[in-house]
Amino acid sequence: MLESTDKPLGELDDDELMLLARGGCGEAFDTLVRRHQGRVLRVAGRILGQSALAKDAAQKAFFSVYRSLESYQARGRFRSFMYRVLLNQCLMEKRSAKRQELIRDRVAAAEAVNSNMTEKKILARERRLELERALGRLSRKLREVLVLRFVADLSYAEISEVLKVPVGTVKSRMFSGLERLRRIMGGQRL
Amino acid sequence: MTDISTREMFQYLVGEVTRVRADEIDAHLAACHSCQTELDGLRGMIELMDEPDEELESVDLVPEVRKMIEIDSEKPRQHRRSLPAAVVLIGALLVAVAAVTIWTGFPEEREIFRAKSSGTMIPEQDRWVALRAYRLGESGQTGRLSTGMKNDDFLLFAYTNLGEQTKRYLMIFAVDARGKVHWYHPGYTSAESDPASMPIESNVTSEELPEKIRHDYSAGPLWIYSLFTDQPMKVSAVEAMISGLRPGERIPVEDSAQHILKTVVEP
Repeated sequence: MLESTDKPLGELDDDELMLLARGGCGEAFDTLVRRHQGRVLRVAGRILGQSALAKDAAQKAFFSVYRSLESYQARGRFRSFMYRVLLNQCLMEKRSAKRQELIRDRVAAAEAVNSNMTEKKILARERRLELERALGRLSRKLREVLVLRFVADLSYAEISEVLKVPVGTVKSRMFSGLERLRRIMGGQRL
Repeated sequence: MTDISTREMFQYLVGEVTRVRADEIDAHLAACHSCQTELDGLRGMIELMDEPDEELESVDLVPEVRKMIEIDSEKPRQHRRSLPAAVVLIGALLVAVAAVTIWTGFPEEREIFRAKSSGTMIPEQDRWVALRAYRLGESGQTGRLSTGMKNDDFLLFAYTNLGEQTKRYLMIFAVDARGKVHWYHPGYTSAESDPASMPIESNVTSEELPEKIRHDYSAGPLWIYSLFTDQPMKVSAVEAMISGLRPGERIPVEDSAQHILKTVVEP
């Protein structure tokens, strides 16, 4: 907490933290990272399908946000801004062939650790992997809308801002994505 | 009522059906085990998307992000980006305004530049205001004013004025190495005049001031003051106050917000 404010940093909104960080308050930016890192990591994980890669993408996305402090406009749209940066970062991570080799190494290492997991954890992991495989079979447009809506918990308007498409398109992609996901994951009714 | 389609089930789950239709679906679900089972499956699929990933849940990115910031701040300054060529090519005033608009700034400059607000001890009232200065050289080159400038550079400014109680007036001036005061806003060209602070916009993150201004500074450090106030102030009153201050020291104006920049004028 800063000495000159009566509010703890955790009670400030995202824009206020960004302005403080711009003024040189490193703790404000740390607070912002801690506030959003859970969902940001999860979104990156669902988009990229690999935890190791998701961590790298999330880290770089926060760094990009930091580098944008000077030009950031405090208009209550931090989340849209943050996730737009993250999706771009995910795209870059995915395109890197060198990274892909690294992923395989890390996945192999992670799988080796799995021998120590409980049965419950293994089942949960299997379900999540099944979902990630299914998400991976969707087109990028459909996958991004689903992840932004159900993992990042963004509103239609926010997703519209992130992807720069109309709200109607967001909804259309969301329902198409859900139907396709259901079909891939073994739905009977479609 | 026939079975509900998968799309409509999804629409129902995310609240995208009308109230009347939702009631009909509720009634159907109460009587149709098959549809209820299907709906539960779809809900489970949506919930699964947001299920925590145990490999990521305990990750704290702060130390790594901090490390990246530290490494970046240690990079040599010659690696800075240059402005887009198109900006340099347009007319002088347009160049200036455009530079203010599109320039994104470099994090490594901030610590040097925010003379009074480095670290975490920013006075409460100063958090919501900011001054950005841009230099426009003779050759038309533009850029954010950082640690150095030439004597004949034009300067341009943009300000931020946010917070619950935004300020209403602004003065921008500089004090050079010999203690001479140079006024940017308001303009102060005649010794007989005693102009007052200019009114400013509220709730703006980057309001650009269109004038490009040049002064004849002494070589050495140059402190650029922005004084945001609730009431207009006269140039003479401010000059009297700063005459007794150390360079870069905060001006003792009650309820004001200030952002003081420091640069160096090349010999």
